[in-house]
Amino acid sequence: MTAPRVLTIAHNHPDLHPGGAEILARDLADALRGAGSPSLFLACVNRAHREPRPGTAFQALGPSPDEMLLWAGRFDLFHQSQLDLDGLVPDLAELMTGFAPDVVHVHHTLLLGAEMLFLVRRTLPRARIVFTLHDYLPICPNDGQMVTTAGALCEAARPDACAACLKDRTAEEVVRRERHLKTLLGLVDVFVAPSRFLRDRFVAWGLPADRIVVIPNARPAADPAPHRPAAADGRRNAFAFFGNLTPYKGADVLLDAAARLAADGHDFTLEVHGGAAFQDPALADALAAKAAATGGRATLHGAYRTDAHPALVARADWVVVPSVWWENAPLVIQEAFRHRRPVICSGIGGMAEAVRDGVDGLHARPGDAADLARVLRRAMETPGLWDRLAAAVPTVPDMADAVAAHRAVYRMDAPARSLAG
Amino acid sequence: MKTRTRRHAAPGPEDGPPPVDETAAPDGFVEVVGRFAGEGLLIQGWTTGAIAGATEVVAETRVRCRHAAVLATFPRDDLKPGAGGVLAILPEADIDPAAIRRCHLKVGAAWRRLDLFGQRTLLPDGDAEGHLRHMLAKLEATDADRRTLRRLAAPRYAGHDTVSGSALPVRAAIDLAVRVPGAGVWLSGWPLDPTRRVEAATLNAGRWSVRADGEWMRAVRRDVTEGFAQNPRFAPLLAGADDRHGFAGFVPVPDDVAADAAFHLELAVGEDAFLFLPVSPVPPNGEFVRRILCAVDPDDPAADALIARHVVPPVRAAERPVPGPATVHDLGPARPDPRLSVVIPVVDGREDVDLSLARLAVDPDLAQGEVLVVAGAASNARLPRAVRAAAGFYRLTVRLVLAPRARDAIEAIAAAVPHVRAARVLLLSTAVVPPGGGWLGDLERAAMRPGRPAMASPTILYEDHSVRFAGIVLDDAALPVAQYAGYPADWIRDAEPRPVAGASLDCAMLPRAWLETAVRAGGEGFVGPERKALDLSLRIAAAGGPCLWIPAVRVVAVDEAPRAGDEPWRRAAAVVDRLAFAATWPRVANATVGAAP
Repeated sequence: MTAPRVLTIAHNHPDLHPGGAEILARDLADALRGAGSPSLFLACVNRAHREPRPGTAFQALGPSPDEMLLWAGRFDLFHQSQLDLDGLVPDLAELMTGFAPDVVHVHHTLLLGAEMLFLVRRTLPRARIVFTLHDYLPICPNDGQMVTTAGALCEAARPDACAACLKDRTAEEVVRRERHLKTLLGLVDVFVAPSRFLRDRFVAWGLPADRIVVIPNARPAADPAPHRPAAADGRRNAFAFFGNLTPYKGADVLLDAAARLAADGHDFTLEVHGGAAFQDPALADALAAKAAATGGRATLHGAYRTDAHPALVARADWVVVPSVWWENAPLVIQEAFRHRRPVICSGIGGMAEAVRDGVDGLHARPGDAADLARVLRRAMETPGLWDRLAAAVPTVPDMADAVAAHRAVYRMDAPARSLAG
Repeated sequence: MKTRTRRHAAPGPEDGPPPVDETAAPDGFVEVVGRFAGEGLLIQGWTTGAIAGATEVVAETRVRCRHAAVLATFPRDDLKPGAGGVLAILPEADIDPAAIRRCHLKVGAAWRRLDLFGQRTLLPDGDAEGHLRHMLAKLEATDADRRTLRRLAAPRYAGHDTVSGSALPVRAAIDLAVRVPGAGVWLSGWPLDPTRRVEAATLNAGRWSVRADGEWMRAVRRDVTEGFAQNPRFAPLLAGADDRHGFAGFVPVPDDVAADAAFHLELAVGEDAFLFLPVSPVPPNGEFVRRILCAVDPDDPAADALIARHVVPPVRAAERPVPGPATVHDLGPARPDPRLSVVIPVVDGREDVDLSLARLAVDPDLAQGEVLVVAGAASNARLPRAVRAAAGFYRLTVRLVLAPRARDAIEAIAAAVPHVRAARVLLLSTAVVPPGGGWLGDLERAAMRPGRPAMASPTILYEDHSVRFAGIVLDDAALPVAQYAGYPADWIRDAEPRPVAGASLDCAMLPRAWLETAVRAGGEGFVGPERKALDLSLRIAAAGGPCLWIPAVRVVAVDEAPRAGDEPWRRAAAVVDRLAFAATWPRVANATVGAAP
């Protein structure tokens, strides 16, 4: 299998919802195609972006023959279950039969439904099913964050604890959900984890360790954005945040830290880039209020286009990733490294794995504005620190690396898993 | 559900027993005669050697008519040995008791002659039931015959509700009764029967009746439970009972039941008690189909079977497209003999049909053509003014066809057909946005090849470059599917024109004669316009018009109306249309394919 035919299925299209997993999935599909693999990218959508159409589950996003949309708006979030089997199965089966991929690479069960793994196996018994684990959703029904509804970090899923966390589900329902997902994920031949941390979480949950391969996320090669000139006193005091403004991303913690620094009279800038689409409007209001409390040092710029990122990061010395959940392998860290920016992040999970404290970035306690303010102050005021960290920023794998690594996974000798087990 | 139509025995005058010796002594006497309400005759008397069971009786008036009868016997101590009382019921006899001169009772292979007793009792009409009830206790009959006798002795429907005031713990009501012409009666309502007393429900109209409750759909009616929760009679019986009191179902009614027939529902309660509920069906209105779809649970495991039985027949009948009246207004330059007629149905509230007219006006391929704008029921009141203005401005020959009863594009097209003057017709949806010039000519050349005309449709794309229409083809089960629907347009980039099972009425060129034939032949009823359009397309193909898909001609269709939601009734509608279509086109393959391009 030198150039396998690959059907990539993602839970949304990055042009409609530019989430990290969606971007990575599409980039990989494009790179595979560029490397000679017939590659079709199928992205799920629901009413948030498209209305269903009569007679077909498929739509398109433009003239590209290599991308399609799958309307999958009837979805059970808790069970990760597709409710519209009658509507989806005939079309999806026909597409798979017609395209006849060697590999079906699934990037999420969101919208698609875990049941579709069964459909893939039934329709394409010889195809390799590869599943990239982008977050902890199979483990954690609370948005896959492994953070409790009260905001505390969660170490492991346990039925009683999950039921207490969710409040509207019983422990029995949690157990049934777990069994259901493990049954269907059992049809996957190889899992890809972008971080060791995430891999270990899934191994602890019960996925077989020998079927999870760690492949770091890759980014298309690009020239790094130039470093901005240091201030006259040598200080590196321009911070930037990139990402969707969800409660888990910790933008509020960062703004609180900025307010503390501003109150202490520090000279710095903080530019927050990201939108709050599909979020409670109260969140945006709260962030605006917190930004106002920084005395003009923090600016909320709103959503940005991916291609604008180099210009935006060029205005920053540091990229801050203050997430209050574990993260996996945040794209924003890799984007920062690609542009040779050291990263200040919460010292947990996938962030702590990607950013080495004191080597290519700095760690802070998650959710602790005072500690984050301390780290930001250290970053600004420690002479030579920025230069040392920036010089140690690792090289980010590019898409050629990703293609090579994934093709190795597609070729893995493990026999395709049958429906019988 | 077995339909039963009671019919009179209609024997000829000579259809009786062998001639009898008038001078010989009779074998017994008729002492009591009475007529049941509605129909049926009771004859009581005595004879010798009678055997209880089914037999035949000739009630001799001025003619001798032979009738099936149920005979019961009873002891009489006032008769000679070997003789006994007899009571015969002739369930289907319609004879004036006063006209009876004598009777002949068949016993085995022989006939017994029973003359009229001089002091015979002639029961007043309607008293026969009471007399039979009085006699029941002493009658000897088989179990089956005893049930028949009990049934005959029970009160008959007298035109009013006997459920509401019944001493039995049974109540019922009809929420919706609709008589669908040519099909039957839709019934929905509820019986409250917590002690399970009702054994059968029969729908009656005159002499016609049918068991109605065999497989009707049940539904949760919490409101019924709650309505009786404070009723001291019912409340104790409802404790622990479920709420599935509701019922709904369709009852086919033969055409010979008069359109204005009065119906009633008969509830058999135990062996010999019956309750009656008048049913007053109304004709279907615009809400009828949606209401019956709401009665269906599309997630019921038996949904397909229930829908096929109860919903498909009335929908097919009620939704059958009927060309309504239309009035025509000629606008723009007169052109009595156009080369091409473009039919644009407008069945929503849009006013911007002038955009479609502008595109046609500047297309040289429409030279010498006419445009028929068909304003359906839901069209905007300002549409005529906009069409008039556009026709004048663009100097376009336009026929404005006002079809106020046209509910959808298919009915609008049907209403327009008599007013189409050209031999070639282009059906064109307002949603279709053609590209620049040339497409119309290309489509026309493909459709009107000398000696090989066809109904031709182009590729129709969504605005996102996915395929909306690329021909209807048949799958392995001979069911029509829209090929390539939803796929990127690039996937069919190199496709060649090919015959297909169906074209798209959103954009199709065809000879007028084919359209006339198909419309005249009528169509089937479907809930959704897609199936209705496909039905018409297949009818045209079945009538001999091959369908062609012309991939190289591409137009875009822009849907501006919001898409329907996925409420349960809409999902039920999809099932109805699927089943109705399968019933309509069971051999669609044989009907449509094989036609050479």
